[in-house]
Amino acid sequence: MKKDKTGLSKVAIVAVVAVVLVVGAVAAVLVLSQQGRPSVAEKPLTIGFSISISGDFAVPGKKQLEGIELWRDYVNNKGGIFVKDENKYYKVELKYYDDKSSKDEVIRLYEKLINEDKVDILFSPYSSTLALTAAGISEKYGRLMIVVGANSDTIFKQGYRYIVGTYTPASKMLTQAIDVVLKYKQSPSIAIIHKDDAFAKSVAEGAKAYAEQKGVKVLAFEMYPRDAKDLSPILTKIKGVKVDAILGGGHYEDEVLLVRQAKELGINVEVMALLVSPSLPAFYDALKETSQGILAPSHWEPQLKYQITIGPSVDEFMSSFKAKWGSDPSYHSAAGFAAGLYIQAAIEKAGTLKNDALRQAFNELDIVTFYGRLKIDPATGNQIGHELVLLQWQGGRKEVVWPENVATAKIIYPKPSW
Amino acid sequence: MVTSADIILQTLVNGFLMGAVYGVAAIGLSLVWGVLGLVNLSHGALLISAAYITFILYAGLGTPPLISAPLAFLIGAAAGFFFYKLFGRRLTSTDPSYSLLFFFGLSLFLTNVILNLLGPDVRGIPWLIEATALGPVSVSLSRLVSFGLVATSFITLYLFITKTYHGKAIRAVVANRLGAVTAGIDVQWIFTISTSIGFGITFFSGSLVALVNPFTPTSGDGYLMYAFATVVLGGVGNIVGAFLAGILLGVVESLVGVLFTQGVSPAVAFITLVLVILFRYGRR
Amino acid sequence: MAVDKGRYRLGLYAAIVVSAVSLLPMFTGDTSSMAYFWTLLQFLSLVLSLNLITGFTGYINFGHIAYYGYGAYTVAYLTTITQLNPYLFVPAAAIGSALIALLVGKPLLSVRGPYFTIATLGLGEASRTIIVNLPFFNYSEGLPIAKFFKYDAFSSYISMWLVAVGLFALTFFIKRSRYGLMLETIREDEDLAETMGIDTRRTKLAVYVLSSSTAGLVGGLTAITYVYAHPGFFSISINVAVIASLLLGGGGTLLGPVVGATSYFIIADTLLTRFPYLHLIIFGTIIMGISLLLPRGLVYLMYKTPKLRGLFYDA
Repeated sequence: MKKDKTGLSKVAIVAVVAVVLVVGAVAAVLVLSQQGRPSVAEKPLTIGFSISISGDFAVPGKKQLEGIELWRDYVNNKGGIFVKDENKYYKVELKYYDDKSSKDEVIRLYEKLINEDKVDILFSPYSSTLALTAAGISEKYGRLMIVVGANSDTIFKQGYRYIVGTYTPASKMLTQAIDVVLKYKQSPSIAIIHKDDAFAKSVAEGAKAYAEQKGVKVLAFEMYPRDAKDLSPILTKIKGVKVDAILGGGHYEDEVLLVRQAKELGINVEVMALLVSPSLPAFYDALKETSQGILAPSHWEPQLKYQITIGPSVDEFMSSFKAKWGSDPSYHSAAGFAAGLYIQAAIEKAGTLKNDALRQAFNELDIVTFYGRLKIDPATGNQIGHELVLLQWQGGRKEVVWPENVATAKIIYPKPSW
Repeated sequence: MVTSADIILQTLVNGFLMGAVYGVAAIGLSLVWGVLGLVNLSHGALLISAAYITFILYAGLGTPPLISAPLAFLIGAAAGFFFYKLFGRRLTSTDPSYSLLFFFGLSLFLTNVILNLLGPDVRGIPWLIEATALGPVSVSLSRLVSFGLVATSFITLYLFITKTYHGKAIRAVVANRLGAVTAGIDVQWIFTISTSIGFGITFFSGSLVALVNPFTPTSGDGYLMYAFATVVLGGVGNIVGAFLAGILLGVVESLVGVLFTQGVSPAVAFITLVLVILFRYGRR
Repeated sequence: MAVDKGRYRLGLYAAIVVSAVSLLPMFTGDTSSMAYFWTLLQFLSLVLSLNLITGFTGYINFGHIAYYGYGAYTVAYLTTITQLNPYLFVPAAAIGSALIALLVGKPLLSVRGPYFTIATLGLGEASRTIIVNLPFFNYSEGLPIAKFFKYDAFSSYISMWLVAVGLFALTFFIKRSRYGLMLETIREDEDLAETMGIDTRRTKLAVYVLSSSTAGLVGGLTAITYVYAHPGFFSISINVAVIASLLLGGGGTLLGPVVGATSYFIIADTLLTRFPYLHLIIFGTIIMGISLLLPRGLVYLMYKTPKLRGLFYDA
């Protein structure tokens, strides 16, 4: 065989070059395809918040937390949230503290979450009073905060630019009850009462404005103190004024007391609508037959079936919630979960974790989860897409009675007299 | 402003019934303060603990409140007895500021144990949520029953405090501790039984609270301020005074709430409290 | 005396070191530590201000926090109606609280012991209830002031630092003055103090006004940092926390409030982070333990050690 100067045959050289080329090509293909495949981020995406584990808001606080934690499991099981700009999947980690239902704790904790723990995203505490407080802090630092478990209109009237709501605004909470009264009664008159806190006051004022707009006479508009152990004075005052409906309330202990004492004072009205307590089974446990016919607005009930664009179906949510927590979810839990889906959608839309881009992304989102539609007003961040339903206790069961097209049972009107 | 006679009558009855509960609830606080000089900041928490015990007995065993109330008294009395044995000497011999702190810690402890064991949900006993009409006035059956229990217990206490040796000894210690010692009264023993009875009555009232109102683990604080107002109004250590003061406070609060607005009624109670203290105990 | 000079030098060094450490976050711009230390300084200032009345005279003030609330509302309300920078109104907070204290102090101080305590508690609660019913204070919502000024972490920090240092210095001078001695005599035996010729009424009133106005000062600065004044400022729990810290550290001393406030703060924070569900149970137990076992506060433990006693005998 003819050999060249180096002693290698021509064939050998061609073979080596060919092998190198083939290996190089294969390697190049492998490397290039790896470039396209996203990896998992080393640090998780932290979502920080305070939640009421003790204090006045412990009951709904716990429910909300359970919803948020369930979402965390859901999104992590799917591999995490995809951030396009970094081509990475982020697992979600929650960082939360007990705010003891106290505004001062909220302030301290949010400063801590923002400055010390340096979380990526903020959720609000439960309740309008606490969320308003937290929003002041998050706004101070220009940080995005998803407001969940709070819907007082005041929060969204401060000119804050970095908050996003998930609940229907408080001012709308009793409008459906007023619609019910209008449907069944000619020229009705009502009484509106509320606890002395930001949330109840928001609802009451919204209700009053709506009533007056619709020509409903508001014959009494009263406030009662936070720790009141006896609501008979305010109820006795209302007893002296003949009204067709009593609307309003506050939170759990006082609302149960309201119903109890209304019955004990022999106050019979055709509609009695409260704010929050009828959503929970404890309401029925504490009142039994006395709960019959009581109405309340709800942000979500399990019977509702929406056309979903993101997240699990309501049945999947219910079964996984029961499996994890051994109890049924309330609307607080559903909203907590939905808040997670909402931020997930925003991150996926914006493609980045940057604060300002995310806030911008919310302006363009219009999604439907098992909890309902979510869409905000770009100027204030207030939630305008989500709708309420009215529920009523009938024979120891919570039924959705309004709007009629999603009702699971016919409304009992008038409320049976005591 | 509503002034019809029926409404006013209803207001008075409401206030009276509620006030009777405030009154009895305050007796325990008054006794311990008057005899031992200890201001029990955990009074509200003790009330609520008893409310929860009553609730558990009702929900779990179906025990009617008529039995739970005396039972609560016995549990409270036992608790008070052991409490004094454990902490009494220490607490009565240190600075008053430290006993205040101690009771505050106790209040935190009790409230949060209940919170962790039984959850934050609002609880109520749906027993006799009925109204009967006494003329133009509507009265709650459960409140009538509780008033019956209140009256019985008050009469018993009154007889105890005026007719028995120990009752008189207690009054002596409240009036003048040194004098009581001189008269041969075993003050340590009086301290023990006062704490025992005080806690007993407090638990008894807590049971009554469960009968008429819904509650959560943190509801105790709401009762605490009214208890203080009642005690001070009635005279510290004065059992009859506490009861009457409770009724007075209940009626006034009711009237203010109906004639003006309930939103300010706590302020009325507190300012009354302050004025009474300044006028009665102030030195010129 | 050589011993005295040595003590003063030690004190000076300690002051320099502590100042440097506490001002460090301002230079590093680390907002995380600033926020943490700010809260500590604010709490410490409250304890120092309470020490003036409760520590020195022994009158346990459960209404101290009301003045803190008045200060916060003064600043927030004036800011809301004038739309000017809230820092302008901080002196008004101190003066406003002082005036109220002057008004109610005289009758309040005419009662002693638990009666004083309960009366102050009543006033504090009455204040909260009244404020919640006032439309111009926005009822229970309070007054958010974020939109009226640009929040600046540095000025917020330095102002609270100055207040804390100022209160510490004030306590130092009172402790070593004849006035301080009069106050402590009142604490030990008020009737005896009167017999000795001390005008107890004027003396008590003066320190009550001083204590309350400084609480108002802290409240005003807090409203600025929290960009919000709300009824929660009148919280009994905070008042109790302040009292607990004072008693923990040792009332009527210079170092007591510092030791007490810092320990309480650290314990509460640690418990909250490590035991999210049980922290209050543990906390309650600790408070019960402290009240039974530490009769005069941590600072007095130092007095027991002869070597330290010489150093700290009037701290």
